[in-house]
Amino acid sequence: MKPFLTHEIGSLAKPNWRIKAIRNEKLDEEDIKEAIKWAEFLNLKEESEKLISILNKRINFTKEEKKEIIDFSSLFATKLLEKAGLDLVYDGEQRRSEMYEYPVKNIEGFEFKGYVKSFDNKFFKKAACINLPKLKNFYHVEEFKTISSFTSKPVKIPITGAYTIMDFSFDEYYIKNIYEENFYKRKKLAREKFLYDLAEKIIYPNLKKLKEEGAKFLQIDEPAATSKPDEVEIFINSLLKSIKEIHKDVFFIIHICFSDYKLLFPFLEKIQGSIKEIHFEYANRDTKEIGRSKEKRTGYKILDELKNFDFIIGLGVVDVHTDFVEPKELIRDRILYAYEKIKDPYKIFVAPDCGLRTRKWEIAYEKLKNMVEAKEIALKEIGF
Amino acid sequence: MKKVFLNGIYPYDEDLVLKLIDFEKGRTTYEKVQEEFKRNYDLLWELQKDVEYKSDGLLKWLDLLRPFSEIIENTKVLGLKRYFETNFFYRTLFFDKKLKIKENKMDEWIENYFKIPDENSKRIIILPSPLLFFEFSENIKLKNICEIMEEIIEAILSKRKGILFFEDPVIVRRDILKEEKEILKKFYKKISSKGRQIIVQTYFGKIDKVIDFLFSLDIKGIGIDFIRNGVEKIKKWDNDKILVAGCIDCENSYIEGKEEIEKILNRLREKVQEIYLSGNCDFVFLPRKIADEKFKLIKNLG
Repeated sequence: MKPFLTHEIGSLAKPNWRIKAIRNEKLDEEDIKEAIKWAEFLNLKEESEKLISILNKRINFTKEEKKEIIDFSSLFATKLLEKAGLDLVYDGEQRRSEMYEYPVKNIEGFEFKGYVKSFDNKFFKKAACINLPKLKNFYHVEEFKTISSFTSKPVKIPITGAYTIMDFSFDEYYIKNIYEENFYKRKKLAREKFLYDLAEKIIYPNLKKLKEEGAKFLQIDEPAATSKPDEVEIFINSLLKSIKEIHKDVFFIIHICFSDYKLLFPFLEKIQGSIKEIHFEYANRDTKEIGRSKEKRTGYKILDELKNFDFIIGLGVVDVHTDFVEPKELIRDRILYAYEKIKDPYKIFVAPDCGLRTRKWEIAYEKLKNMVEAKEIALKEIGF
Repeated sequence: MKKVFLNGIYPYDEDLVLKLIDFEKGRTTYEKVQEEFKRNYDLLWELQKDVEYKSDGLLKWLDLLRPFSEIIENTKVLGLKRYFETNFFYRTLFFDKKLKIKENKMDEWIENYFKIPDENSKRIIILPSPLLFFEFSENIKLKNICEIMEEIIEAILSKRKGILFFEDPVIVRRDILKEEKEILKKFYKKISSKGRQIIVQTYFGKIDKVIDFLFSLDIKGIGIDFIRNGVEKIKKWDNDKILVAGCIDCENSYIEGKEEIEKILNRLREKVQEIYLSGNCDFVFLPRKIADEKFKLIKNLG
């Protein structure tokens, strides 16, 4: 592994030409220009001739054409991350609708109920579990194979974890099958059963299949991990049930964001050895001022406690919910502040706070490029 | 009239959600989004036509604190913070030391955030409790929150009539300090002094520890989350106060049977004289269609 290794966290925005084509909305001149602009920027002009010719049809794309469009969108996003200089790459979820909706669509026993708000004017489609969950197909294999064919860099696949799928879903199935007079206890027992079924019957088989296909870096996304403080222990258990023996062959990252991380500490020892990197969001809660004092780096306080565990620290250094492009000096100072705590550049991996899907590609690229350059400056400063 | 409250933030219908997504991607205009909001408000007025105190569903509120960033001078909107045990995120507000209401903004602010179907309608004037406000704010003291809220409430009540409804999950989730209790007592006493009716709606926690304190406040009613509290928790009730029974689960899509709710209500009626019904917490955690169904269910029983 490299010192201050860089990677992204998951999603990127989807280009308008991809969204409209899949929704069967008519593409306009701007959409085509956008595709040409990025093809040129990413040195994909020749490869993209086919894409432009398909897009020029503007509407009523066939199933095969839609597949080609998604493949190109995946290729563009992968190359964007490559060009930004990241060490591990991915395609920013170009094949997925969204981190929750995509896996749920591939699991039997769920029914979508409608949109709910996550923050500001951001929403996700929420489903209810109405029957015993059953895997329809290994839903990350094609993604892994295709992205691997686009790049010579190591590919990291993010997988939405069991706890988050359970916590983001309503439960109309398990609650009916638990007998307990106290409604709150009944709800809790139902959630635990639901969670462990997802871990063992859905996530574990998916991870195992990815390992068999050659995946070396897998990231389990659990933004909901600490949402219910009294369930953190069952979250940790579900993680172990999802991974089992696979950690012997695969580098596992756990990504948690916008949460109270302290709630995890009593249980983290249990996953040492199975999970190699523990990635949190920090920049969101940090100041934008340059400097390495604790007053300037308020978002990174938790490192004082986290350094006592045996994990690689996945360090969120870029805020994903603002168009403010963090200057290299600011990112450098965030990295070096962490380095002063951790003392080992091989034990710090540098990344954005979370997926960049709410940012335009121009902004996402600038943020990532600065992140990579800041890492180089930080390395130089510590003599690497 | 039905004894029911459409409490908290209410979800948008799917057309409005899609319009907002399109707007963000530059695929529709601001005017088209406003048309969808207008349609959503009309649907809410229709849903509550036989309800005494009406709510606009706080449809324009991005969270329970955000509107205050627009009316208090020099407020900064900070990063995301999880709203208790949900997957809904608020943004923390950072206040300048000297709190001041923006000049000449209040009328427009009230018009935007406290809509009413017509001038004669009574509103459920939903506000974050001072403790909730404090929980999601930085660089501000509870006492100062109370002071600025008193000023804001005066302005709202000069334009709107109805019942004040403070959302307070904090009070049932952590120990409240003695000095905090004193501040809250004074606050509610002052607000209620002109005969104003106040309800403190608690949710996401157990009521046992704070019920006596809530009884001691100058308020008209107390809201209790009966998804987290069994009816047996109500050992005695101060019948000067009304009970707002949060007896429908706004955190799960499963639609309760009418009999299930009736069973709870019958047991409560043995101890409490005046009961209004509500969701156990905000309806915003549900998709719109399910929220409507659940609200209709409690409306029919209210």
